[in-house]
Parts: sequence; C-alpha cells; structure tokens
Amino acid sequence: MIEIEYKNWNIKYRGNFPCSTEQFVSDIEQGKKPQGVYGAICSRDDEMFLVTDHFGSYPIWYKSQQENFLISVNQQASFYFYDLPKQNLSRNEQFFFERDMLGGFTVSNRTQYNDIKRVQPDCIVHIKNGVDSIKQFQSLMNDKITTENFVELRDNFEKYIIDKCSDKNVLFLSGGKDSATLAHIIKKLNLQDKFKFISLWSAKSKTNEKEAVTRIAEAIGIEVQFVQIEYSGKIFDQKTNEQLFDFWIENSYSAKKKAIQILGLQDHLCWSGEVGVGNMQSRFVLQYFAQKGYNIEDMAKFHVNICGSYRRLCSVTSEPLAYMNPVSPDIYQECVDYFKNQLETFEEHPDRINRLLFCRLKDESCFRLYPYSQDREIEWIHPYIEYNFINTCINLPSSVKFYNNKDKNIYRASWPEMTNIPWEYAKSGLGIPAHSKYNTD
Amino acid sequence: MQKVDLEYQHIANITPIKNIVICKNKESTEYFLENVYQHFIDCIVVSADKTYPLNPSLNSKVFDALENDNTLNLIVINADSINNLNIKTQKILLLDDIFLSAWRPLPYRLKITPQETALLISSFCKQTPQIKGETNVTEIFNKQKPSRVDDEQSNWIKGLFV
Repeated sequence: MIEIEYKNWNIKYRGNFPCSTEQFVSDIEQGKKPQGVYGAICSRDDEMFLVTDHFGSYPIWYKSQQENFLISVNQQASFYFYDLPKQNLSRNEQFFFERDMLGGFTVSNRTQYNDIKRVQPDCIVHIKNGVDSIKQFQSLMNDKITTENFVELRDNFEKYIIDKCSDKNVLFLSGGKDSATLAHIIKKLNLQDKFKFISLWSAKSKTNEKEAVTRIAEAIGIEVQFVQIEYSGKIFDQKTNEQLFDFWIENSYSAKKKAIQILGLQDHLCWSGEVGVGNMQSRFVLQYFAQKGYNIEDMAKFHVNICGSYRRLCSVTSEPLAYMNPVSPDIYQECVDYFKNQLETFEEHPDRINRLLFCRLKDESCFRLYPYSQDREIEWIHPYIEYNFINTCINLPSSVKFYNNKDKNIYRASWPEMTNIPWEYAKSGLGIPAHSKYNTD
Repeated sequence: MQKVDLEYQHIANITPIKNIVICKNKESTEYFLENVYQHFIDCIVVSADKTYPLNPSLNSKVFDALENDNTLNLIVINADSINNLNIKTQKILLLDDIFLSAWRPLPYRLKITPQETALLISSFCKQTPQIKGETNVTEIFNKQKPSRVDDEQSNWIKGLFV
C-alpha cells in the first residue's frame, strides 16, 4: 500500500495508480472513475471516497455508522478485511448461509459482519457526514463491438508485461492456455532470465498437467521447476470464517502460496493467469443459445446454479434448489435477480452471445482474486485483468473467440506463432487438497 | 434484424460439440427439449430425421461430427434412432432399458424422472474427465454423511467406497 498527500487529501492505494493525483482527485470528485487495476481510499476532513476497479481486485471494507461518523482512515476503511476493528459487531449469518448455499461464492453485497460493507467492483463509495452513497459503473461491457485488431491488442499487452516485469519474477504454469500464453510472451520478449517458471504437481492427482507443462516448456524453450504439493495447508484461520477449499480446482491460490513458501521466493513478483480472456463455462452458454436463443431468465438461473465451487448440474431451472443444503429460496431468487439485472444492463451491447458469456465475469473474478488480495507477504500480479486487455477481449465479436471447437482463440489470433499444445488437452484442473477438514490435525 | 441473422450464422461455427443426445424424430426431440434439456444444457439435441437442430449450419456440423468424431459422448433415446446413421464414436449411452424398467417394471424398478434422466446423462458425459482426473469420493463417502435429511437410504453406498 502506498500513501500520498495531495492538497488536503490523504490517498492510500494499492495496485497501479491510474493517472496523475490531480486528475484522479478531480475525476472522483466529479463521480468519474479512472480505469486501471487498483483500489484507493481517499479521505479529508469529513468525507471519504473509496474506489475499486472493475473486478474489485483490491477490495476495500468499511464500517458503516449512521451517527458520530468520524473519519479515521486507519479505523474506518481498510484494504484488508482483518484490519477493521470488529468489536461489538454481530456475525452476519445470512452471508455464511449464502456462501454455503452457493459453494464458497456470494453474489450479494453481504459481508461477514453486520455493519461492515465491502465496496463492490467498479464502484465509488462516497461517505460524507456518516452517510454513504454509491456510484456503480458498468464499464467492461461497451455499447458497441470492438474492431478486430489483434496486432494492437498484442502490442499493448506485451508493453504492459515489459512495464510490470521486475528483476525477480515467478510464473506458475498449469498446462493451460492462459499461463502458456504468458510464458510464450515472456520468452518472446526475452525476459525469461528474470523469471522462475514453476509448476505444481501432486502424486495423488491423476491429471495430465505435468505432461502438458513439460511439452509446453520444451516447445517454448524454458526450464520449469516442478514442486510437489500434497496438502497446501491452512492459509487462513478457520476461526475467522475465511474461505477454505477442500480441493482446489479453479482457485489455486493456496497451493501457489505454499509453493512460494517452500521455495523461499517471497521476494519475487508472482504472476498468475487469472482470469484469462474472461470466458467461463462458455460451452454451456453457446449450446443453449444455439438451441434455445436468448433467454435472460434461464441464463440468470444457470449462472446461479453453476457458480461457486459446487459446479452443480448445469440446469436452467430453479430445481437445484431442492438439492441445496442449506437453502433459502429468497436468497436464491435474489441471486437470480442479480444476474438478470446484470444481463439487462448489458443490453446496449449488440452481441448477445457476449452478454451471456460475460454475465458472471465480474463476480467470478472478484471471487477468484480475493485470496490473492489479502496476501501481505507476496506481491501478486494478474496481467490479464489489465483494463484495456480484458475490456478489448470482452467486446470483440463472439465469432472470433472460438475456433474449431476450442475456446480462447484470442491468444492464437494475437500470437499465431505460439505452440498449439495447450489446446490439445481438455481442461482438467490439478486436484490438490488445500485443507482437509475431515482430518483432525 | 441483420444483427440476429449474423449471430444465427456464426453460432454454429463457435458452438463446441462434445455431448449429443439423439432422439428418433421431431416430436420426441421436441419433447426432450421441453422436459429434460432444461435440467442439463451441456449437450446438443438432435433428431435422427435431421429436423433438429433447427439451425441449418449447426445441423450440418452435428451430423458431420456424428459420422467423423470418435471422441463424442452420444446419448441415445430409442435405439431405432441410430439404425440409419454411421456413428463414429463408441462412447454411447443407450437409455432405453432404463426407461423400459420404469414403464414395464421388472423385479427391480428405476422410477426415473426428467431430472434424474438429466443426472444420468450428466454422469455419463463426465466419465472421461473423472477417470483421468482426481476425485475425493473416497473421503466423501467415508467421512461425510449423506447431506440430505431424507437420504438414510443412501447409507449403503458407503460400503462400495471402503
């Protein structure tokens, strides 16, 4: 976190400050949000602005008090959930209920404690005299389709990687398309000497990621160090009710963290492939659209049914409710309405397939990036979430995003010389128990 | 109008074909789409008489895949559906006998609902990644109780995963 003073403003921020301080203050005072990957807490006298980026990748929590609101940045708003004083706060049971119901995922604005709020992605919260007002932006989905210009996309992204590269970096390779593309770019830019390429494996796992990574590394011309991890261990204290994953498949933060600790690389900048070009469960959406057309109601239910760690049956009905435990029909409906509203706000975007493909992107990204954001020991970077890159990817015509039954064609269109090996393997997901709650140790 | 037409054309090009459910004719396909598909959307529903999929490009792509793709998961409802097709894949789930057991009960009867049919299809389609991938089923069956309150009847399953 970096702290700066400007006129009578105190500004604390994480990530990349998006413009000059003068411009930033001017913009947020006018209710505009400079785009970038950052979170910022700006305070003076009796008011405060809290700003998060399009994925809330540096989340901010704040205490809501209707009376006697005295601005004290250190006490009233924080980038780290644990830093907020929680004396006399009551546990918000509905938050835990929703999270259990959706498998570690929440789509509502609930937080773990009553009276603590989280600034939602792409929002500015303005607190004045103890009262907060929220301005929500909808910046990622544009009102027109982006012109295909893969050369520009490639050049801008490569420039971003050069800018962000430090002297000591780590890149995790999973055998997938996102991390392989990053490795390819790093090699292409001749930055490989500044990187340690690491891949995780488990003797318990039967997935073929080790084979895929070995082949990809050979094709690109880099050396990979394999790190064996059987249990990544407890990262968060269970008493704080933080997220624990019995198995990590999609969210691999805890295992990566363990690997960094084992290798003693805490002083390295650690690169992840989150969240790629933003496609999530695209096959289901495409198949449904091809056969049933554009149906907001059904797709909203689908996104609730499929979100979180449970990955329940891909149904477009509310019938999975009968199999959820715990379950609240009211909270379920609230979540369905949330995604319906999301789709409605995308209506100006002409490509309806894009609207469906990225309906859950903001929420899923927020969910995936959260554990990285709370790590104070290691500095993480997720280059694919850079605003211009992800914004372009989302708004390109859906027709260029898939090719020959395979997704993430944007990588191949932008870096056509890259190896095709990652596309030969079905997505598997290395299964390493992050923490076994069944074990008593 | 132009916008819709463009989407209609390119959706066939970008829709991946991995799981296909084949029914015998237009009526049975429409019945499946109306009653079962909504519980499992990870498939393309096809009519053996080629009336479905309705999108001509997708229709052509699907029948081409049936004849040439040996990695497809094919779910067949009514074995007559594939009599006149040259199917390439050997990963086939024929549901007829399960439906017969419900319709004309043998000593053991499976009362199968549309939702349970969807679950069966889903399980079949997930087989390949589960065989290749890691699962935690042993831990689940040995250390967890059935999660539903009315599932005491399911306790017997535990013995299979000792």
